[in-house]
Amino acid sequence: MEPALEINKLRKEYKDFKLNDISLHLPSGYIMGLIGPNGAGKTTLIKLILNMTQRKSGEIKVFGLDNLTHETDIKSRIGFVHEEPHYYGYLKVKEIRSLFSRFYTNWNNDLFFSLCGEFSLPLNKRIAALSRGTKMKLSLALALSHDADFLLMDEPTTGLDPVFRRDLLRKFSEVIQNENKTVLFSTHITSDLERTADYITYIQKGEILFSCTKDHLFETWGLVKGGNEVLNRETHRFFKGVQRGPYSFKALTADKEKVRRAFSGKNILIDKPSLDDIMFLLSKGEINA
Amino acid sequence: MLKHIRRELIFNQTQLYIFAGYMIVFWIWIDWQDIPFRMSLLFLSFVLPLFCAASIQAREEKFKAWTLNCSLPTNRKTLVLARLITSWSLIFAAFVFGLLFSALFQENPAFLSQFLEPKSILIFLLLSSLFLAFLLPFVIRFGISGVIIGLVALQVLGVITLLLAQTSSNKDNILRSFLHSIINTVKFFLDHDPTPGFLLLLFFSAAAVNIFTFKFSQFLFARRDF
Repeated sequence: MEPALEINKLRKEYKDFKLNDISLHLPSGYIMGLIGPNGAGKTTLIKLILNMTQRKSGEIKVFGLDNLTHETDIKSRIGFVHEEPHYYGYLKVKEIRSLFSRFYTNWNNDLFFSLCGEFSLPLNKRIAALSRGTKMKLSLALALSHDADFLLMDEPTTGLDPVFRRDLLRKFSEVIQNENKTVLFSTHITSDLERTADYITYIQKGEILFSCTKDHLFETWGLVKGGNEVLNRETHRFFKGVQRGPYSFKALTADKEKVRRAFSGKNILIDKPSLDDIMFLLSKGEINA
Repeated sequence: MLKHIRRELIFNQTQLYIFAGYMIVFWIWIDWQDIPFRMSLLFLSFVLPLFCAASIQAREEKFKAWTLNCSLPTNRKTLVLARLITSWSLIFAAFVFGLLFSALFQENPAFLSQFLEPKSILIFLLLSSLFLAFLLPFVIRFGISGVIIGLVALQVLGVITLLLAQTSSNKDNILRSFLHSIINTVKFFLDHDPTPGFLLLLFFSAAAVNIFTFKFSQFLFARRDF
């Protein structure tokens, strides 16, 4: 089966930031979570996929099709949720449906109204009067109502209350029951990824530091804790990021077995890292290339 | 394309009412001040595209609609074409509405009938196309600041012309000659007999200007990031 998304050596340059020749691969039928600090390039990457931003070089293929040459076909198969949904504020919820439905051949009115009911969306209320969370729900309802093969979401859970966030993640899992559906979503809320994602991609300063399955990440990566006396130039190279305290350190390794062997006989503890640990140590810790 | 024009018209539905209001004021003013036909036609040719481009863009920026539009299953070429067609739809709707409204109280039917002559309509089409060609690409590329930059550039040009006219004894300075040549061209169009050849020339000139506007806007819009 064609991968849902293939990115090769993608480059985008701004005055003070660049996305630096990144490559990414997402097979069809999986959920990929895109994490990274603010300004890492997550939104830029998503906008590049939709051709909302012009790339400098590189290639993006969605379902095997180039995203520039087959822009319209690709977008008709994508359900997009923007981090700040922008709709014509004076339209009512039901009116925006009428506007959207004409652009998608697979639009399903029954599904839309059912989702509006499920998300408690007020059909006769003007969009300008909706809260950010409700606009996000509307955005999701619109994205899910045209039988999209690929859901592309930029911070979809931001601004949502915890109850709806859980509902939404459950919805993702339901969507993915159909093995042809694929989801790529960026988020700051790492617990969302731990619940749902099959793949995790970490992006920082415009570079992908890792992109792998969640299982692989938690099987091979480790959070190493120990006294500062075991940390030296030689042992430091085993770590992706290190946080030193006055007497002890916490470090992240991409190969915990290697660390276990290298530190055998020394007093260290290797735990399973959380995504929060990984994000923190990669972004704030002393980094090894 | 129809769904795009429909989207644009839904998006700009408030503008239709604002245009209607503007045209009412404009025609009352023409009648009240006894503005001659030629001046009225020129005024309409410049003000309608300006009002159209600026007001559409103001709404665009208020609702950040390009972000939404670019995420829909379409490409930028279609979005630009839809915007150009919508602009013309609004301009013509305002033009026709203004004439109909004016017919209610205008005591001199001959004055109104001049606007409906093929030559007047085609001159209006050409002049509006030229002004839209100046405004639309910048609006599409740079947003409302594009309109402001365009207008400021025109004002600066006017100020420079005045300064040059006052400080220079040379009556043939470049700017003055340039402006005179524009005025003379417009006069030439207005005074020319409406022969079929001349009308065709006006029509094809307007069409060529609009094709340029479309291509140039498309070129600029393709380079815009959202």
